[in-house]
Formats: sequence, C-alpha cells, structure tokens
Amino acid sequence: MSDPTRDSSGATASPQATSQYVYAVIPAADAASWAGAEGIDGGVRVVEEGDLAALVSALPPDKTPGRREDLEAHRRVLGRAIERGTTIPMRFGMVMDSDELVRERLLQKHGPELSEMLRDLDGKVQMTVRAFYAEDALLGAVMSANREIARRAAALQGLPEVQTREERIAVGEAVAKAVDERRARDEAALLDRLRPYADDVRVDPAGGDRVALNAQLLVQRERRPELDEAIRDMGAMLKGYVALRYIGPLPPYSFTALSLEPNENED
Amino acid sequence: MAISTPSSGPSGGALTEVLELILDRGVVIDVFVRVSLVGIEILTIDARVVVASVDTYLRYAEAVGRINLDNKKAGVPELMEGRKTEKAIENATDKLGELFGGIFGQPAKDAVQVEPGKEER
Repeated sequence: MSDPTRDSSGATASPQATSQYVYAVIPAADAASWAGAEGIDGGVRVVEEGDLAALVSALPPDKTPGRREDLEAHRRVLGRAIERGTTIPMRFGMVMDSDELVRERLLQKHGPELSEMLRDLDGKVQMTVRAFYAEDALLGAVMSANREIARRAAALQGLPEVQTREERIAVGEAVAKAVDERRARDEAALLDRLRPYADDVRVDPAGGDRVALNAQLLVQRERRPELDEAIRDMGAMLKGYVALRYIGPLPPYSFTALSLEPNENED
Repeated sequence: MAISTPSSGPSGGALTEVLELILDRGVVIDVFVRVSLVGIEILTIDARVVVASVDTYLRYAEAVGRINLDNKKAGVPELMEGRKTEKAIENATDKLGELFGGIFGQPAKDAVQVEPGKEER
C-alpha cells in the first residue's frame, strides 16, 4: 500500500479527504472517556485498533501545524490524556492521511511496541524538576570556597582592562572551571535527593548558566504526594541559593522518545 | 513571570517550559511528520530566553567584580524571586551545607568580601 504521505518539506496538498493529526496512543479501554475535547483544528476523536487507541483530530490537508495555538492545543490534549490515564505522547506534528492509515501504520504495525510501552508506563507520569541558581549565588558560593581565586579577582578591581586583559581571562577561566565543578556537584546532590521517588530519571542539558538541574522524573501516581513534599522541603531549605521549578503531571515525553521507523521513506 | 520555589505542588508550566519535550520527545514516525518551522522557531527563541545564558570567561571575570561591588543591584526580575545580596548567598551556602551534609566543604564566611578599600568607582 502506498498512500502518498507527505514529507517534512511540506509538499502541496492534493484535494482529498481530511488528514488526521495524531496526539497520543492510549489503551482502548480508556477510549470511552474521550468526548468533546478541542484539538488543533477540531474535536478530538478516538481511532481504535485491538487493545490500542489513537487520539486524533481532523486537519485540513493543506494545513501544516506549527503556530503557537497548535502547540498549545497539542499540549492541552496531552495534558487531558495524562489526567485520565496512561498515555504515550506523539511528538508534535504527526499527521496521517486517514483513519485507515492511523490503524495500519501506527496501531497495527507498531502494536507490540506500543502495547509494551503502555504496560511499562501504566500508572506513571512525568514530572519536570528544574533548579535555577539565584543571581550570583553560584558565583558567590564558588568564591567563598576558593579564596585564591577571590584574591586574584580582587587584585584586578579598579585596574585598566587593557593592561590586565590576560590576567582577567586567566581568572575568568579559573572561575569558570570552579563554577562547572560546583554546578556538577550541585546537580548530582539534587539528583540524589530526587531519585528515591522516581522509577526512572532523565537528565537534560542545563541549557543556561543559571540552571543547576534540568531533570525529568518518571513517577508513579501514588508516589506523587511524597515527591511533592520532598520538593517543598528542598525548595524551602535551598531558598536563596536555588529556586526549584516543578512542572507536571506531564505525559511521559522523555521516556517515550522513540523514532519508530527512523530511516524509512515509503513502502 | 516569576519563578518561585513551589509551596503548593507542581504547576502545568508555561508553553515555553515544555516546548522542548513537545518538539523533541515522544513517539514519532518520521515519514508522517508535518511541521511548519516558522512559528516554532520564534517560540524556541522565547524558550531559550527563559534560561538566558552568557558565559564567556571575560563575563565571569566581570561578574566576580560585580558581586563584590554592587551587592545591592536588583536581580534579573523574571527569573528569580528575591534579591541576591552577599548575605543571602552566605546563608544559602550554609543551608546547602546542611542539606547535603557538608559534602561541599565549609565555605569561608569572609571570602566573598574582598578588599573594601577598593570599592570606590
């Protein structure tokens, strides 16, 4: 079967029936609870196949998702899905040309993998924990612990930048190294405190100077209260040094990062 | 939007805070991806601004001078609650010591204060 699926270059649409935007795969047993949710361009529907169901909504064939509203809608639908039950989130932008294609190319062809994933994820949600340093807190801590660097930095104060350029760079380099080490230790220490509450942890790149930790936790729903409390306690204890950002419950995006047909073109 | 230590459980998060997860994680079949990048690029830039970073060696050196001299300067308003004075940093460092059982060694209390004599400018 060779349905003319489009690639990401966005070839122009041929006049045909609407496409289907795919949000998530859920157990077919949960399908009944879906009605009336607004998707990207219309109401969310369920396409079932055996034990699996896909959450979809109709999309005009010539529409290419990518506006802020589209992302918001994607997130809204997935947020609702994880509230209701076990959810495998699709990456943003999965569009298939018909319900038949959703059944055949997603739910049938990848049924075993998806079913196994649903079993593994049963009763679990993703929680994001980020730790941001208070302004200059990391630097302050590093300077407190490294008197020699602090002394050299102090000696530079008030001197013309041009004359001291080399020493400034050298001091800056020493600071940067100490900062990196400190950040790595802080990250490890924070993770050690969080791991006991999670079934699995993914650490994402910090993504900024101020970020001490950017972690994704896979957490059993019934353990959430314990984690909530631990985060509260840590936040209170670390106030003034790092602020914690705690986001969720999210569908397990980070634990389903999977390209089902990585190099395939069309068959 | 201020980011504060959670006191009453988690939040849903701003779109920019979950953008990377939505765009880069989850299950995908590449051949069925249809995405317009124009809108997304703008959002991605927004997301990066959330954790804006500037970290050349020279900027570190500059910042070292700043915390010694301009303790009272207002903090980056949208990222962090509260003001970061030298004292706050010391206190927090102590708290970190408590929390992590002194793995990090004891900070020297006076080390942040550097040569008060040079503070004019």
